[in-house]
Amino acid sequence: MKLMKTMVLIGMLALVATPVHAKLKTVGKGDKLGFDPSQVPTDMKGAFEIMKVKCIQCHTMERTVIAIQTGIAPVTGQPFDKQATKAYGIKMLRKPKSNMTREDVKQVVNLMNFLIDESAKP
Amino acid sequence: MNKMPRQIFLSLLLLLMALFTCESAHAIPAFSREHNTECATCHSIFPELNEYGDVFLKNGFVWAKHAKVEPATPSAKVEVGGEGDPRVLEKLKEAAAASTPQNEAAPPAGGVHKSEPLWLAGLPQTVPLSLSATLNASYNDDAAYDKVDLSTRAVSLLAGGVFRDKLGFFLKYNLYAEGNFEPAVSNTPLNSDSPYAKDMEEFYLVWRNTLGTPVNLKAGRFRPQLSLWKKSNKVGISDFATTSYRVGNSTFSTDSPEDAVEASAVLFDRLYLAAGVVDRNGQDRNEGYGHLSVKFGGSDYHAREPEMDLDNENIMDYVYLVVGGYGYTGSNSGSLASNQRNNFYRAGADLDLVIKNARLKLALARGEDKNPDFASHVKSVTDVYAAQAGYMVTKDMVAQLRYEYQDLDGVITRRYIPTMAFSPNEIQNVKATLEYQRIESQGRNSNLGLLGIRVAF
Repeated sequence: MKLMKTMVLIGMLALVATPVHAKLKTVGKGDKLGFDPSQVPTDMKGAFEIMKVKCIQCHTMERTVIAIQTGIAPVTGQPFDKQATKAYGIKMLRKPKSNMTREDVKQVVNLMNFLIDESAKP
Repeated sequence: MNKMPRQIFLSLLLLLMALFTCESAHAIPAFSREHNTECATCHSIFPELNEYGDVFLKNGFVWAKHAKVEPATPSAKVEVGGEGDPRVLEKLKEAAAASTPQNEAAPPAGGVHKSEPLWLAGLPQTVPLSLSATLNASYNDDAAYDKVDLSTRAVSLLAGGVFRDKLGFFLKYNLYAEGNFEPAVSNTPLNSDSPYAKDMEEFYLVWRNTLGTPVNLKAGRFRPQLSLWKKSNKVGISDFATTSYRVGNSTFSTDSPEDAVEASAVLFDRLYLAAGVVDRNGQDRNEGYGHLSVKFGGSDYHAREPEMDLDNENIMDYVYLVVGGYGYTGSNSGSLASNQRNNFYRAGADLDLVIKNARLKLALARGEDKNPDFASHVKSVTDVYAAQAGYMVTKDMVAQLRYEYQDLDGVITRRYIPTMAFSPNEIQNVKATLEYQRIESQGRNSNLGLLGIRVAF
């Protein structure tokens, strides 16, 4: 019985210790972490599909989620705001074999700006 | 169940939980581990640098900072004191703590993987060590006995990083090396022969932004900043002739590591200057060198992206050009005791043009050695030209063709070097390179095929 109590306690502690970001809904964990598609408006579904397919060719979606949730780009430690989203979009567009078009970048930048706004909501 | 097994069971349970909740390790070299990013952040196909890797190197192994990360809360100082409702006082204290302005003494922001104690100690967050090794298979048409050869060509220990964004460091120690870069002698071309084999090839420190200026001061053993491309900054196996050629008995080449002090700075965002002095054993005066390069288009030397109109297509948005020039003057001898000096100079210019997936490198160098055999005092003049066109066939494969022309006192050598390099996107720390070298000199042709597999971890 005592063992069972301990296990339940450990389980509860593990649940409490899991980081929760309530403002922006996410799905999955670790490398599989991504944005919850249910929060993406209909007119941005196309951009979300582009992001899901093209961005992960070079990096995980976890990196984008962390950048938007924390406001800081995880690799460089630099601010990840609406100015930065366009700069990152341009960087990805210029990257050899990135397979991104200007239209792709425009849509993904708009989507990231929307997600930044969502994340900033109280 | 007695107490002991229960404790063991609980320990195992906790261990298992820890294992499954820990993030997986990224088994790639020091900079990747430290910054938790992939090789492709800084390399096209390793170890060739892309423009962001070049900025990282120029900036003393620190990401360029464009803006300070400001705290979300107001930075005005809040005085908390006096008596009153303890709950209100506690809330005021919390608000004051949250409004403490961030400054350079604060731990790095956004570091989900950062350890504050390590940062406070000035230590890198990960052990900054890596190994690099190359397996080489070659076919030498000129070899007298052994046309086909399979060997481990080199194993190197690498370390690099920065202490609290102030002092960068880099180390390359050749644990094992073999061969000789001479197709007529050996099947196993070497990337660091005597006197650099099995030795400390590079170890230097960089004092970043010395005394608050844009100048980075580098001291130790390193390759002086001369050409646009450091010796290792390449996709293929062989070095550019413009920087690797040697004359007579002199061991000097433009890409040799030296004991030196170098100051460098980025000015006006797109101009890079470097100058240094070299101390060589057996010399009674220091050698000096300088480098200047300018970048047009692309991101600047602080990795700031160019403005781009996302509504209108423009090919120039995918173009950048770097032009650079350098000069080196020095004096060496065959041994410490020798009075026979060879005074020499090297001068060169490089051009690096990138258009989306294509890259063109042009290089020329001129050198003069007054006494290269350390005996006869017969002057030697060398002119070398190189042109290399490369194309990124896929995200993980590059095809290149290089042509080199070398005129050493009227002896003409031509080299034709096609290369294919493949570094799978899934394992970016492994690279396979297939290179063919056709060398024509004095009516004698030499053919060498190389297959190199390089791993870094």
